[in-house]
Amino acid sequence: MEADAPRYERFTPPRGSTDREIADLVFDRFHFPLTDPVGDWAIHRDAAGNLPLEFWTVNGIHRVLYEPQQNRLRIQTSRSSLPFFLDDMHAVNDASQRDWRMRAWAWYNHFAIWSLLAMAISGIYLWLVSRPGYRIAQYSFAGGTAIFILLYIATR
Amino acid sequence: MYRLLRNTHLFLGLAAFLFLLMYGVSAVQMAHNHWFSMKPTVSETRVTLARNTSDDPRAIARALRSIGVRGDMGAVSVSDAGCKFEVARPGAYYKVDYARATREAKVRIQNTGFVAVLNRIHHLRGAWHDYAPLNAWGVMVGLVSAGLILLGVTGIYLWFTIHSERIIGVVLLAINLGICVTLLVLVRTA
Repeated sequence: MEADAPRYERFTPPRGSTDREIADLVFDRFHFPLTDPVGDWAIHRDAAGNLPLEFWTVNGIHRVLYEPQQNRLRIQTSRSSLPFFLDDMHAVNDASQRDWRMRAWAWYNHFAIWSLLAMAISGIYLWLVSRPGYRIAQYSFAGGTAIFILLYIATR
Repeated sequence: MYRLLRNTHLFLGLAAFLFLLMYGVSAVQMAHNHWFSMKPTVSETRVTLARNTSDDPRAIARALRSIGVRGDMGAVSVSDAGCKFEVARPGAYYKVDYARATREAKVRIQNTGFVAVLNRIHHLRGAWHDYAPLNAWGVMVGLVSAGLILLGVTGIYLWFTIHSERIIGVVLLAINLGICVTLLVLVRTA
């Protein structure tokens, strides 16, 4: 993952802001493409009292560090390589994301999952109604099934 | 050519059937997590190791195989008091805390059900594992992945040879590729 050089911006949250509110202010300020607000579970100060916030996307990570002593934000963006991008894209299934492109991709992935299952099951059906007695096909099915079951038993 | 590709498609699809089903079912589980109970059963046991067993974490893990502790080792930490490590395989996770003074290993065991095992197999890759069956899975899922690409390519060829279904196929393929490539480009360039 390639990271850009960090940049700094002045930032002073309203007095008494909670870390959750600061995280939301940072999100509203930058609106990094494809991102959602940072989850509550990911909001915590580091040992130096700074507040690290990570906005993850399939294209990479926007890391923002709120440094209260300096009243500033340190912003650094890392970009994923194409293989990592595709790997992350294949795992997108959350259709409640803010960005419409990510929602659309999640629905596309849902469709692909059910299509894969339909393809596998209909393939077996087509074999059984067309050439069920074909010896090599029977051996292929038995061989693949036996390997899967044996590996499953060996692993458990 | 047609006969060869038709048979290749048939043999590949049949041999990979359970693997494809595993990918499909585990993907449904990941997309609809609340449909499945993934709660592990947790138990704990204590084992006193024999005098001739070394204090080395690998030796301890080997000794614990007798109670079913099998899998890849990880998160090893050694101290004067003893050592801690984890052992994991699809469907089972062990956290071991060994005390040198008493030679006692406290083992926390988490076992999961069938769908959770499929989930872990879905994520398996490579042949660099400590635990041999995981390497065999790594080889098989690599072969199945390559087979899946070949299944797609031969499937497209077989469809193309059916003249009566060319138009509807081209329309569906064009819509699918259009959506897929457009979304990929829109997301990548966002």
